[in-house]
Amino acid sequence: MTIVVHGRDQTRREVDVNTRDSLMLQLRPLKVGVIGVCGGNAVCGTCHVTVRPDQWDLLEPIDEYEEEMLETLPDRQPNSRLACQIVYTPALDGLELTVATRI
Amino acid sequence: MESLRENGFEGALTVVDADPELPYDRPPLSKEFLTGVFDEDDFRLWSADRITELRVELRLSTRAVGLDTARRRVAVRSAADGADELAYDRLVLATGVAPRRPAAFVGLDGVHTLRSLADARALRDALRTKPGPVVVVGGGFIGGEVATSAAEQGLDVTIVEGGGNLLPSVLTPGLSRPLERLHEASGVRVICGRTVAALHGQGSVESVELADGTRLPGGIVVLGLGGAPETGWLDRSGLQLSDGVHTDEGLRTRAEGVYAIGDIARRRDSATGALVRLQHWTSAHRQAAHVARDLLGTTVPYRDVPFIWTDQHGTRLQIAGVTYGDEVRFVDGGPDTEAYLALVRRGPDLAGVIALGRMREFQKMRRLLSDPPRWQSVVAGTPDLDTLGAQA
Repeated sequence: MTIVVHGRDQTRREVDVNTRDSLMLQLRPLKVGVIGVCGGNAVCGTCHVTVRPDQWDLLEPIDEYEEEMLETLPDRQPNSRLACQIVYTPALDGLELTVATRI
Repeated sequence: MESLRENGFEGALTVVDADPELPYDRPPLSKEFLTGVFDEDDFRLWSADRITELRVELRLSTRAVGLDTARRRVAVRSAADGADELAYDRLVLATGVAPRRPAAFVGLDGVHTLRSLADARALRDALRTKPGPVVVVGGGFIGGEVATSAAEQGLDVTIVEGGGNLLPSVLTPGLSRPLERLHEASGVRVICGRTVAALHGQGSVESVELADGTRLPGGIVVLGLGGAPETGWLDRSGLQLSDGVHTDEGLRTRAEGVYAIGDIARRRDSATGALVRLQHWTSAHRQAAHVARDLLGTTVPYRDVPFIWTDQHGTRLQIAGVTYGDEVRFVDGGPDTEAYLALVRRGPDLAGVIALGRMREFQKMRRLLSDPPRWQSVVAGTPDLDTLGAQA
């Protein structure tokens, strides 16, 4: 299973994901800008990514805690998500994410 | 500062900080930073460029030393620039807490507290270079997380907690027991109900003496004994002080134009009338956002359901609302299981949710707290479990 990550450093990487951990936990060792200061509680916004628009519907809907956090992000886009709230499932094979600019 | 600029505030903004470092987030200091998952740059709040962009004057290594609310002046001092005075129209006090370090535990090398990035660097380096053993004094949030980080690096670790169980400020014995077993299963010894009498060593700490005479070998000692609000500099300000700066519901102090937020704010809670001081990262954020709105003239009532979490040995403990109510009831798991979900009752209502290793269920129940339902309607339909009081 592979997802594609466009890092803050303009790199494109194909990343093997195999577990059911959140994408935040799986992406943060790559050091491409997904950090997760709050450890996956959806309260810090440091794992902000955008999802390729045509893949949006593959993801579980945004819950109210993620929504509350996203609302506070000045650079939120219509396709913004928190990577800590995306649990990897086989249906997400080929998912393409772009790490949001950190302000 | 971010909120103010984002919402069009054009006036001058100054931040005074005793810390020499560019502002950073603290939660990783006891976790990912100690274990090497994060570098310092991962949890900086602002880059130097961002500070310029925001047009914020940031005075680092500068300590606020006095407040004159009549003249609206803050006295500050720094080693580099000496004494100075800053005028303000509005002032936000956010000096936080300083770690408690009893006089008896001062003077030996190898004894750490953990609050600042500098503290964390020193502890991280000690955990990498010294053989230990590690003795963590205090079984609170910092203590449990430091013990976890040290054990992950293969060190011999003991936690000594003077109370009857780990996290005694928030957990009853029955809620704490699974956490204690989790530490023990990960190789951390947990000693509760005994206090530390003295630290011994030649120059550097070598052993920890408990009040009952037991001696534990300890090459690294971490004091996790909580913090005291940094309000000494406000003693002659005329503000109401006692375990923090008293504020009204909206975080305003009694002085015109002066707010207090974060760990030092002791806020009047409208629901109970009590003064409440929270040392939660999430509350500090919420309070900052609230005050920013107030400064911009768009005041809304302050609302916050307290929320804290801690990660220990790969398991997450989450707490929302109050922890000590009139009744605590497990709705999933219990004192003898690895994971649990427990609810707290206050009066006739649900008032708190506590979960160990039950993240999804926790989020569902936590949602209810923004408009607390009747206890009976929540627990009806759950098995007639023993309440914690009966089991603890």
